[in-house]
Amino acid sequence: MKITLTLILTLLFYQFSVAQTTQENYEIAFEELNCMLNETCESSFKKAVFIVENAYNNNTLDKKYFDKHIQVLTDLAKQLIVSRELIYDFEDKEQVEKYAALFSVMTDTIPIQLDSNQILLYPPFSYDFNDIWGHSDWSNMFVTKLLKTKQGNCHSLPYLYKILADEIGANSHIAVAPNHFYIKHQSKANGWYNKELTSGIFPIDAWLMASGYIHLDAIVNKLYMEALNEKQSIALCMTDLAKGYDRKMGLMADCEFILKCCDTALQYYPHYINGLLLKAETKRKQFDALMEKHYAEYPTDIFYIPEARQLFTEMTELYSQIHELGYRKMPEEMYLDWLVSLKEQRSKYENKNIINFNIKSN
Amino acid sequence: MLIINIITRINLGAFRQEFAPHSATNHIRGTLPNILKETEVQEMKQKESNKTNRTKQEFGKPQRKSQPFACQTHAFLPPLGLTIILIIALTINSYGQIETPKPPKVSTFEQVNINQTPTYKTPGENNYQRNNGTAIYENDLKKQQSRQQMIYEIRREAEMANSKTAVSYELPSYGHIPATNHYKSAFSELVEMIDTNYSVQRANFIVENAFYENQGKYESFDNLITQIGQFLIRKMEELNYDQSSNLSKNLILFQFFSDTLKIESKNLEHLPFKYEFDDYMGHNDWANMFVEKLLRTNKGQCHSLPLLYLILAEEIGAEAHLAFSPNHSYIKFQDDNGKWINVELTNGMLTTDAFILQSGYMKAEALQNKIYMQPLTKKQLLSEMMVDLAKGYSIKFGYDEFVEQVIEKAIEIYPANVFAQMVKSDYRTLHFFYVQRQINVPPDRIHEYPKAKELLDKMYEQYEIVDNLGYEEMPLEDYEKWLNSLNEAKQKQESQQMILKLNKSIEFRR
Repeated sequence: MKITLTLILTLLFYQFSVAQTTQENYEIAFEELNCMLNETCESSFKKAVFIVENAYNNNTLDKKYFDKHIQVLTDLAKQLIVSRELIYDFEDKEQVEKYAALFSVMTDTIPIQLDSNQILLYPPFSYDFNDIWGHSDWSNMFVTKLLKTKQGNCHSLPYLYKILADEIGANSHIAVAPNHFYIKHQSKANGWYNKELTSGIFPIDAWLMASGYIHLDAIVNKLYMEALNEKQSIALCMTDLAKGYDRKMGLMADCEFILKCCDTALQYYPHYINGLLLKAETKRKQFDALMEKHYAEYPTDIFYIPEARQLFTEMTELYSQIHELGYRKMPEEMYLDWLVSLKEQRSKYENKNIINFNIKSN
Repeated sequence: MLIINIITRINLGAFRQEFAPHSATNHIRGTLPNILKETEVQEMKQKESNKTNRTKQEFGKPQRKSQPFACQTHAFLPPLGLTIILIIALTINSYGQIETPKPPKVSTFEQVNINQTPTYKTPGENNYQRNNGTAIYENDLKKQQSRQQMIYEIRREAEMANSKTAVSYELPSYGHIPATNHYKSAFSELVEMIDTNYSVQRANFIVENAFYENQGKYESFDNLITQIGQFLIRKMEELNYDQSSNLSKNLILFQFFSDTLKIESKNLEHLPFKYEFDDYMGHNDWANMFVEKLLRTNKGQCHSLPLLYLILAEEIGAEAHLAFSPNHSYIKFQDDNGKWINVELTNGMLTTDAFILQSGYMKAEALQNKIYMQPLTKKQLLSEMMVDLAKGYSIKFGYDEFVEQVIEKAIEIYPANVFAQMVKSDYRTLHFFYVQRQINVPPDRIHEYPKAKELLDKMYEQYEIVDNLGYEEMPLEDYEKWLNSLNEAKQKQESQQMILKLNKSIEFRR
């Protein structure tokens, strides 16, 4: 009996101390990201992504190993640029060569000559159809997981692409779609165009619009399909941090920390839909907790508490703002159908300008 | 041909337009089949300096061309422009072919025996076998003359290139032609309308009448519109429509365009307007785009139909707006609950936003910059009228400083007017090539002529503006395909449902 009690107590204490250190880790991670946003330290998307993933893994990730892995891929891309000649005739050729090399690194099998008769085939990254939302394990969304298993999703693939692009000095932009991220580039020949890494296709904007969950207002208000700048990309990481914290801590999560992250992210990217949604959900969670505390059945039951009333107004205002911006919820089942539609209706949604070129193999 | 090669490569596409600025299928981001683009999917091949290949690629490279608004406007190059192009094409060719003219060779003369009596043949029997000596002599004379002509041409070019002072940096003006005065007065009248609640009917009449050299009578046009207005109001009375409802007014207009409307008591009937499949871009005759022509023939396209709709809406006091999509314009109005409804007049249907987004040439940037799918304000509509005026002028006369003046004004009052930006882009292109033709230097030496360099920079600057607006050219065949897809069962059904719903809401109010 005594032993059991001691065991339970020890476990509880352990749990508490773990939570304590996690909280500390996350606070430190927040500060590191925040200083990138308020320009007190150097901004680096690569570093930001690592911070977020490391915090989730209790600071157990090996930074050197991560850097080295990125370095290998960067070198590979650089080698590709040197060893191939892109037939492209506008003044921004140097940039476009980089885009092309990165695309190959991500989606092509690359033969590497080791010596005169040995050729190593470097396999491409592929799409992981298991747990695309990170429901069973949040770390499935991570770039570190992608590097380890060579399989990723619409979160980790574009993130890795962006990291590599930054490393070789290519201008790339992450863009947001419903439940989705993809890459946008600009070239002199084609203007803005899209890169879909989950299938290795260049879709036209009509594909995204055809998802059926992008309201016209959502595009006009830049909720979706906007090429994000550096600050906005870091703001994505900040929201990821909050999300990871939420997932890790579960019921022990401190709502204030999540709100702090969201508010900071929204300060630099005010119309970031995932940030707005997380904020609204957290407020809702807070309100639910209040209702439970006072044994209320309906929201109106606790309106006599000024704090509750204010929380409720904030929450509803946030939800209506989200709706007005043009957000419509996309059911998760629909997402895969839509993602697959790109491959099925490739001829309809492929950007023919990008693929129409002279193939000169050697 | 080596020289051409170099020119085209350094030019980055700009000079190349000279070869085909008037062809209908290509633009900045050309649609030619084998254009080299960012070659990402299997892109990047080993370097191979195959010259012929290169030349081919470079010629195939996309060209910026004047085709801003297929349905509404196709910027024609003026006849002068064509001449310029021809001359440039010739001169550039001659670059690679300059050779010293050879004197006629003696050996080409055949020995003629003078003593021999020439045999005359009856005409008609064999006309081609005439006296050899004379024929050859005449032939040679011709050759020599053409060579002389060539030498003269080459000299003239050389002189042009050397005498920097003689270069004219302004496009020749057509201002001396009396008919341009109609355009000038039309423009000043339009300018006065800015910031006023002007009459769309009047503005449109001015634009079209300038093209007809003020031959039309405003009174008769006005009478016709008034009559139609009365007809519509009578019909609304007959149908017992609520005359204060914007929805009812727009619905009767929609029926006027797409249905047969009858007033039994007066024995009046109006048949639906038809879509003009021939020359829907006004290529053959710019007047085909006019409302006047639509009323005359009962046939129109996406330029004249929406304009007439707006004129009639103004007449019966309905509120409706023009909106753009790639190569296209349509009507947007709000129902009595403030919900926006799209009217597609070319097919007489109501459409969803989703359908318009599916055209395939709608970039997110274009929507974010609000160049498409936005209801135009009256001021913005006036800007579009000015674009029409500038287009009419450029087709009737050509591009000169008047076009620039009008288009600058149009952009000033509506900077995101992509069609105005396109005309400006054409203007800048022509202006630069006009000067380039005179100085005739390869691009790497363009800095020797600061004024020409400035024009070139301005041209690129304008291209950049159009690109950043998110404009993408829609090839005509794709446009037709998209418009025809309205006839698919799904779209028809959607339209029917929307019409039914609107009718119900009217009945509900009644």
